[in-house]
Amino acid sequence: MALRNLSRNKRRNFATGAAIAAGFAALIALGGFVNRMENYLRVYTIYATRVGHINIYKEHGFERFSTKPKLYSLDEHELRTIQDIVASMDNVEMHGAQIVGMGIIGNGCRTVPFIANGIDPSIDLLLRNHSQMRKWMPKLRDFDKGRGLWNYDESQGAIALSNGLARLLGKSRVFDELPKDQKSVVVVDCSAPDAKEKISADTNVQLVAGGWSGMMSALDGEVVANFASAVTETNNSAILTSLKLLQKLYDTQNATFYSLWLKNPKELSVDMAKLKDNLAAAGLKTELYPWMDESVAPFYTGTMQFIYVMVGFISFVLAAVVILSIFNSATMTIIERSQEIGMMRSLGFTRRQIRQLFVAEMVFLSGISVVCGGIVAALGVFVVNSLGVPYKAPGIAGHMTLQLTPNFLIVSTSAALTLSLAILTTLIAVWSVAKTNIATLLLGSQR
Amino acid sequence: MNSNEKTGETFVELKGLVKNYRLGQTVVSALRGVDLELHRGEFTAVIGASGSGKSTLLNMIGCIDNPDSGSIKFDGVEITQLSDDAKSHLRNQKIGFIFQSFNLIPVLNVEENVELPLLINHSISPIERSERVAAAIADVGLSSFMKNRPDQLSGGQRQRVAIARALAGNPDLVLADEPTANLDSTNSGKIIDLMLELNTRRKVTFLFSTHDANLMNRVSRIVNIQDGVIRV
Repeated sequence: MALRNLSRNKRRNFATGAAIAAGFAALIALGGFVNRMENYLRVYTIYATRVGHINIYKEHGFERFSTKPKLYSLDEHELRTIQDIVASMDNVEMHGAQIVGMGIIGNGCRTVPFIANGIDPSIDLLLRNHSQMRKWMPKLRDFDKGRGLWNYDESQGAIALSNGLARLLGKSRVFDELPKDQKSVVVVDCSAPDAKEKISADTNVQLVAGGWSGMMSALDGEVVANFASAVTETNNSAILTSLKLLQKLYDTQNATFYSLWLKNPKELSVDMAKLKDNLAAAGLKTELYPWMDESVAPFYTGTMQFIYVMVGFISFVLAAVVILSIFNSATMTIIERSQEIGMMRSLGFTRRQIRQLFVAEMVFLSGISVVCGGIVAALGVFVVNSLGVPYKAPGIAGHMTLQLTPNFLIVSTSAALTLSLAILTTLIAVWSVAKTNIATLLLGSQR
Repeated sequence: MNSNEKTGETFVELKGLVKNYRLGQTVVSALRGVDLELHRGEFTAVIGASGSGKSTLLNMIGCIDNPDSGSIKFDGVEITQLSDDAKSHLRNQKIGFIFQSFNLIPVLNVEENVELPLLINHSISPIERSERVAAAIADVGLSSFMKNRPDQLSGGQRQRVAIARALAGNPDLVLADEPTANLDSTNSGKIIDLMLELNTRRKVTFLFSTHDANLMNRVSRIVNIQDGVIRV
């Protein structure tokens, strides 16, 4: 009967169903967008910026490292101990020490500040080929120009420059593009008309930084690759090089922190606790940061909070539109059928049975609408993903491509939310009518 | 003991029934201390002018409205104090309703409309339900219209469906509020004949309100109500 009642006022039910379907499709699209952004930023944080799932710092190292790097970095003994402990953990996929440091980089005529990240090139290779990188940010896993650090001998001083920094230094070529017999280019007069051409003709740069022991330190490097740093914040200053090169530059054997990448990230909290206990048992004074900690991943946490607030607000507006549409439709239907409700009550139907009848009608309508909305959403996602619409996201270097990646959880949650809203709204609409005096209901429009 | 065996005995008893309605600032007295007894098997008409309290009286007996004071005993049970669900159960099991405007559900066919009150009576098996529905529809002469929807029937036929629906549950009492008011004289006569026949054959007690002079001439008892009071 509930199903047949849907055929009574086809136009109204169609409008209500369309509102439900549109709301459901919009929820899927929003969910798909959030899912895409969350995965993009998560993978960017963990793999592309090499933060790892867990970071081990020396006690107070995270806050004080930049002012007293020697005192608040992990020394050789600590690094070895950590390496031994981490290597024994089953859930660890990769691990390694990293250095983060600052300095200035020059091309013989011009110097600009840099922020360098030093890591074992073999780990960088594994990270770039990781399945998560392939899935969520395939464009960022490749260098824009040149080859990875792992292709070069340690003695060559291979470094990769972010695209913006390469542009600032006028280094438009990378090492592999130079002729084999290329000789060092010396620019004597930086104001000469051919100075820029000479600078771009070779890949040599000079790195200068304060060593951790207090002395100034400098070394030569060869630009072997250019990369997109993903975020505008670092696109004009980021350098990626080997751990050993930066240790040499900063005149140390220490490292800033030690990173772990897990096989199963869902075990993060368990592994964190285990690691903390083992480090303490080994007598190391360290502090651990999970990847989503605001301190180590401010861009991820800040951006996701912003997205959640925005999407939450839009979802609220969507839900309000759907609720009002259902409520309006249900109220009109109930008013029109008040005499019928009175008749059914007089035949012995209880209030509960009357409510169940109207809820059943709405469940049928919502169910059909959700199926239709799901089809519309699937088509919409396919079209959007096929078009590859580029857009500029705040804080992200270059253009992103609009991609929607809804998954089963998003679809099922949206469906459950839509159905729950429909049922709740109908119950509210029918509640008072079901409680109305039967004699009054039987009067119908004469009331 | 079935209703046939108890024919003639009092089974609905009203004492001092009062019902007032508030219309804005005005209080309208619909019933002012009504006393009435109904006996099994009676074919009783409640007559009176518009607004005299006929429908209110039927609503009170049918448990679809509550009196402000007074007592209603149905088959010895005081029904004014029953819960809403208990009243629903009583209506479903013991009372049949026929309305002036038929009140059929337009998306259901004749068979389904008649079956409707039986669907919530879980003591009836599906087979018995089908038999009762078929018997009730046959009693009102609409066996060949079982699959028709209300909009495919005439006014008289619709009212017959409503009568079949009221009788399908084998009620002790059928309450009919102006059952012939929306029908022409020919159809009114047929409906009266049908109700009389069912009253005689099924021994079902009928109580109905009416203005119809044809109907008043053929009933076994007339209850005259004026300004909320029964006049002898």
